[in-house]
Amino acid sequence: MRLFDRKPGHDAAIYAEAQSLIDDGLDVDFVLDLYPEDAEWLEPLARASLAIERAAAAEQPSYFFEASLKQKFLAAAVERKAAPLPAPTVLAPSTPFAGVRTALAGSAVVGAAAAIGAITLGIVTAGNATPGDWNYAFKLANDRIDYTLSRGDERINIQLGQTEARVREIQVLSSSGNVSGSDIQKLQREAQQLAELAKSNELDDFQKGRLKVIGEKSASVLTDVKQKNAALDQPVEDAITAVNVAVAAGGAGPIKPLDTPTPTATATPTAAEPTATPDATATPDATITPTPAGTETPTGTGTPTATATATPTVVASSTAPATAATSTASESPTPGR
Amino acid sequence: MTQSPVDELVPEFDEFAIVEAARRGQPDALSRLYEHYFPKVYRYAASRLARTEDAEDVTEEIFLRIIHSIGGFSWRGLPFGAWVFRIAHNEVVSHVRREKTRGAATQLNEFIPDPTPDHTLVTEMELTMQTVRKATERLPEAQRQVIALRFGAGLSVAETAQALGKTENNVKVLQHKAIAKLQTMVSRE
Repeated sequence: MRLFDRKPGHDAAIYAEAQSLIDDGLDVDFVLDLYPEDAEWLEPLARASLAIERAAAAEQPSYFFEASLKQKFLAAAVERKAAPLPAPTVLAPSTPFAGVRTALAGSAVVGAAAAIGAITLGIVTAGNATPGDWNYAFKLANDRIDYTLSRGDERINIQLGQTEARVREIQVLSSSGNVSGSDIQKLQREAQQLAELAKSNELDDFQKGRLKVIGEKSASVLTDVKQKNAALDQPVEDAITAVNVAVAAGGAGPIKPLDTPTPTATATPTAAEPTATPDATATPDATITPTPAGTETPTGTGTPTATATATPTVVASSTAPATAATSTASESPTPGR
Repeated sequence: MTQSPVDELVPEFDEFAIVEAARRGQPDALSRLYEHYFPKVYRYAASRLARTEDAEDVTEEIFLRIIHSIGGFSWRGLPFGAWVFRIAHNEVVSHVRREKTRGAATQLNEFIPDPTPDHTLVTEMELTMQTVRKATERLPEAQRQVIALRFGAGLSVAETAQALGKTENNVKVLQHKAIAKLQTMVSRE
């Protein structure tokens, strides 16, 4: 009947219960009396466990061993305390330099943001910069990028624009007396580059017009620079030459103001013909005004003759200044031509 | 009044406070910790190892391991005693493996009878323990662990279950089977 009344492990539970009572100090016989139905199988187990416990309890360590081990134990604790503690498992900064690293990282981020902002501002505001301005470098960089990314006609237009920009910069600087040799050399380099492009590409009429304006304006601006600062004489001469070469390469036609400093009139009249003074009777006919003189038409106060329409305007017109026009007109009375 | 696992494991011993103080290196707490666990740990080692020298060596290793690892101990629902006896178990197993590797004989603890009456009593108890050890060696490892913790170290069923990571019912069954076998084997000796 007992087999059907008990669940598996019931004996183990009974034995554990009885054994715990024995462990608490109760006598074995007393405990067995508490389990009369199980005493028969429980007794040998209880006696065996009691014998084992007593045997184990008899295994006493020596006092010397216990004391010496305690000394070692406490000494090891002192060593452990002196040694660096293991890193705590918290999310707080684990080293004293963590704060410094965080500050440096924050500064780096702020610095990078400031640098990006300054670059952006420099690029945006660089359009009207002149040499000496903080953002002038951005302007030059933009110019280089535009030039590099362009091809064909677009490249010519960009180069024309950049040359115009250099002329404007010199004009601005000249007004304040701050032109330097390097500024003029920049124009010279732009003009040389423009000449290279003009040699390898056919300029349209509009581009030729721009090139002509560059020649005229640069001549007047550089002349002004030269007058203000004689020390820049050589750079100015070089720049003028470079511009003239570019203008000639682009086929932009004659440029009037450029020859002011160095008249190249090769007119036929020579110094040996001092008699070629204007003759009061030799005033040109109003209807046949010498064309090359262009803007400087004769006043008409003279009395031109029919021969006055002859040759003299041809060469001189291309380069002679207005003042020369009058003299060429006066050369006309060379009936022999 | 309900007892906490700590109270069950070590009555009248404020385990949490003492362990925390010991982790901070307070000598008094370390001393109390040692005094509390030394007898249990030594008896546990002695119940698993045949020679007194081995029991002493392993006990020393256990306590040095405790002091080196106590900084990494964390309360995870188990009493400190469970952690101690897991270390003890690992050290005993390591020692047995080392001894097997060396081929060292554990049967050198020969008994030499002493004619004096007082010593007869002592040697009789020791003989019993030797018999128990020999019998225990023939038990499965799980049952051997339960016997060593329950009757060697003197832990309760609950403490043994916590130290071994088993349920109390499991420990009760293992204990019952182990004692039944030992009783049979010892009675035959």
